[in-house]
Amino acid sequence: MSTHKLTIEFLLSTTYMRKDYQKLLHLYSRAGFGINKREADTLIESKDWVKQLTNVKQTELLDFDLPEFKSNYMKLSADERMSMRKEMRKLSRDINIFWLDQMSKGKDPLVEKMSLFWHGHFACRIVNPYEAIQYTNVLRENCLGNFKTLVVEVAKSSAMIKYLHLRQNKRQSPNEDFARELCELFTLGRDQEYTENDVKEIARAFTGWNTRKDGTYHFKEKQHDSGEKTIFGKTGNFDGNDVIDMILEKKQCAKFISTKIYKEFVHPDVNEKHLEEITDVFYNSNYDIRQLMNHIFNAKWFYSKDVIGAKIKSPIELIVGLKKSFDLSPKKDKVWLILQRNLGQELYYPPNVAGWPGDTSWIDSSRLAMRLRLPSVLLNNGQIPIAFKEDYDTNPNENRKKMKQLAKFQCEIDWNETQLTHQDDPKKCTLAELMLRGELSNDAKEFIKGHQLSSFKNQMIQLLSLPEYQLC
Amino acid sequence: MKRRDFIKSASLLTAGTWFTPLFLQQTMGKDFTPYKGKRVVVIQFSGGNDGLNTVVPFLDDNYFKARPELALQESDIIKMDQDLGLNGQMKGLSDLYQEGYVSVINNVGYPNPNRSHFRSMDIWHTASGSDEYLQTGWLGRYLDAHCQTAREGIELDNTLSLAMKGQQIKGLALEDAKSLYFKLKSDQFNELSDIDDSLNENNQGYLYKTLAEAHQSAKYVFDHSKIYSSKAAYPSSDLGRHLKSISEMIVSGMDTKVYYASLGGFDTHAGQKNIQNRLLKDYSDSIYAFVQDLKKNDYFKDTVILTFSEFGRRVKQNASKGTDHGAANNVFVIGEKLKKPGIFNEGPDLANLHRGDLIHKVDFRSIYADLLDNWLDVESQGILNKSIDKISIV
Repeated sequence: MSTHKLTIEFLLSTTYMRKDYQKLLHLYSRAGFGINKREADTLIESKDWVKQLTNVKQTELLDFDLPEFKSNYMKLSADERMSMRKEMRKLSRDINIFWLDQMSKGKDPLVEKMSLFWHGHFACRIVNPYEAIQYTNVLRENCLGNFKTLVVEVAKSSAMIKYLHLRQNKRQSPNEDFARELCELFTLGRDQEYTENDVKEIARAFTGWNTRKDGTYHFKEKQHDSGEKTIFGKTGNFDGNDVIDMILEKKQCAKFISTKIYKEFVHPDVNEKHLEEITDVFYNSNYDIRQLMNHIFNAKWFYSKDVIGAKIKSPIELIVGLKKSFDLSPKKDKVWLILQRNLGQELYYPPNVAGWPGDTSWIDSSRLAMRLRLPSVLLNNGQIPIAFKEDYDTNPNENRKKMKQLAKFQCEIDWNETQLTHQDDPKKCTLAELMLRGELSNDAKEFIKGHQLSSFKNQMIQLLSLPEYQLC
Repeated sequence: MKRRDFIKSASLLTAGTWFTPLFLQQTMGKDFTPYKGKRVVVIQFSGGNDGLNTVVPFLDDNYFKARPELALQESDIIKMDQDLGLNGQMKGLSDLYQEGYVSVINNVGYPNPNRSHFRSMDIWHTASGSDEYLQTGWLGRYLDAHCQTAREGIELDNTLSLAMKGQQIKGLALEDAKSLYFKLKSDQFNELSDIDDSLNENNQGYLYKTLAEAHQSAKYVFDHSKIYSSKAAYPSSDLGRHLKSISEMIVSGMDTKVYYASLGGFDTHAGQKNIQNRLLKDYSDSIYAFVQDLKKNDYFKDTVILTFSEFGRRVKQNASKGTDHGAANNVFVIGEKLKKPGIFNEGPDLANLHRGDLIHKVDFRSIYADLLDNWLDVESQGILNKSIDKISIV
């Protein structure tokens, strides 16, 4: 491995960094999971970065090979059921890793980032692999499309129908679970422009929304309450589709979604003026998500100094970013699951229907220690403890045995190739500028000044072990 | 790699684990005063412990009818009072009970019980109603309102439970007194922890502040771990190990107000008896050793131990000699001077069930409120956000 010396002035200052590189790297850290120097050098030549991100020709779906669905579960013997359940669990784990892999390799970074965002928004715990694929692809297909279609399709997905008890929502005995979360978490926000009575009536409108055994949507006419309902002060024979239309008519819905998007893609603290601006864009475009994102990524304020590097990476952003930068593919890919769970964000496993609270809630002392330690462990082929907390369905003995195990993170990193794709280039951007977003803290600057390293690998580990690497 | 590089930041640039086992000598500061105030230790049974085979209504016909294979016979239990007996594996707990150190609170739960492990555990952790979602835990809110640093709430685990997360202060999760210290042990983290006060108000500042706190807390715990090393015999299980660590932290004079430990594996849908017996024995032996250890060092009088599970189990056994998820359950409170040691309230009413589950008579938040108001001596109302029926245990 060739060694080379960084000039400290270049390393520490962003003033030397070309402004266009700074913008591009910021854009891709938010609209994607980051890019390396080689990608940046290619992209910088093109005219319209934003359009390239938002204009998706054909959305890549999660192309996971599932065995044909068997509907004979009830006829199986106890042993056969057991082995089927085991197979399902394995498939679910594989899908989780498959999606993670897709995030780091997908051709459209924004599709990856948006579908992760919508997973947190339409938070849903999923154990069934068929439902996981169906749900994920609904998110992917509609992630930049029309918000109304997205809401309707999610509401028709088997995962959501089960998770929020739409199957139990019948004419004779309505279940309000879905109706409440639709208003509170998916569209309007808690206690915003709806009443308890609206929730009751909305539940009636969604009676009959059901799913077949194979997971396809099925409207059960017999369970549907076709009587008159009064919702938001209007009376009529409304069904679920009508309700979603009525909700979307309220500008509050556009505001609520824009707020969440702003916090996720721009800044954890909302600027009211910017919010008003994007709410208008979203509402006036009839809830076109692509137009909303286009507007944000083209806004001057998106590239302002206080926005760059202002966000704490979610654990998935952190993991996928590392995976992508170093093309990590460990021998035991279960290590990805362990990391997700230990860092507090596991795909298909949000804490509850409200999703991951995000921002500073990702960080407590112990998690921060793990996150800071993570790059040096991964890049040094170190060891990760296998310890699953609260694995309710595992045998406690087996679990205890697992607690003692350490998984070696066996993973070949091609450092020569990595150095080529992350070439330090004082005229465009240095390694520090490439890997870290925002201005470095004084402490970090001083530390680097006092500990100049010569090998590329060590420089990399030093930079990634800075708190700044936790930001994007 | 140049030797210079290697020496400069050895622990980050070589292969390591999250628990780098390095040896390091540190000495305690001289101006050290041990904390003598009160503290709570919470022990969580994860998975839903079957309370009916823990505290057994051994004279109730309904119990035997519902559990032809699972019911414990008179010979399998240790008698307490009021027609209730303790699972025979729990000799240690029974001894504590005889000494008057245990309150058994029966039929604890909440309205509209949820049978999902996760959801029900969240409800217990956040002290929410079953229809609300809170992002902070009840102990976290205690930390927010009455503590200054993360180390005042310590969980023995590698990740922190929701119960211990406040808005401002989140407790410290550690596997033992040394692990967090070693995770943060490197030149780089040392130097970056030594922050000036010109920190930004933004997330970068927040990360540096948290790092400095973590570093300080880890060092505090690590330094204290050298003051007292328990010679008492604990079970070699995880819980035994964790309780031993807690006792060492307490006796070394740490100012931690809340400790948290878990014992998992209670989700006994099949072949329950052996699994549960083993877990209860582990718990009972560990807790006995813990109490003796604290007593010997005169710290038991300032310690109360709360044991709970996210729900009890269905009264009727299932077809696999196990039990399914249920609702109300019993809770143990252990301490030296309890208001009403023994069986605190009437045992389970197996003749009146709701869809096959025990009906709750005591809201778990009443127990939290009592611990906050009358043990930790703070206002429970701001922490639990609700006025709750008062009960008097501690």
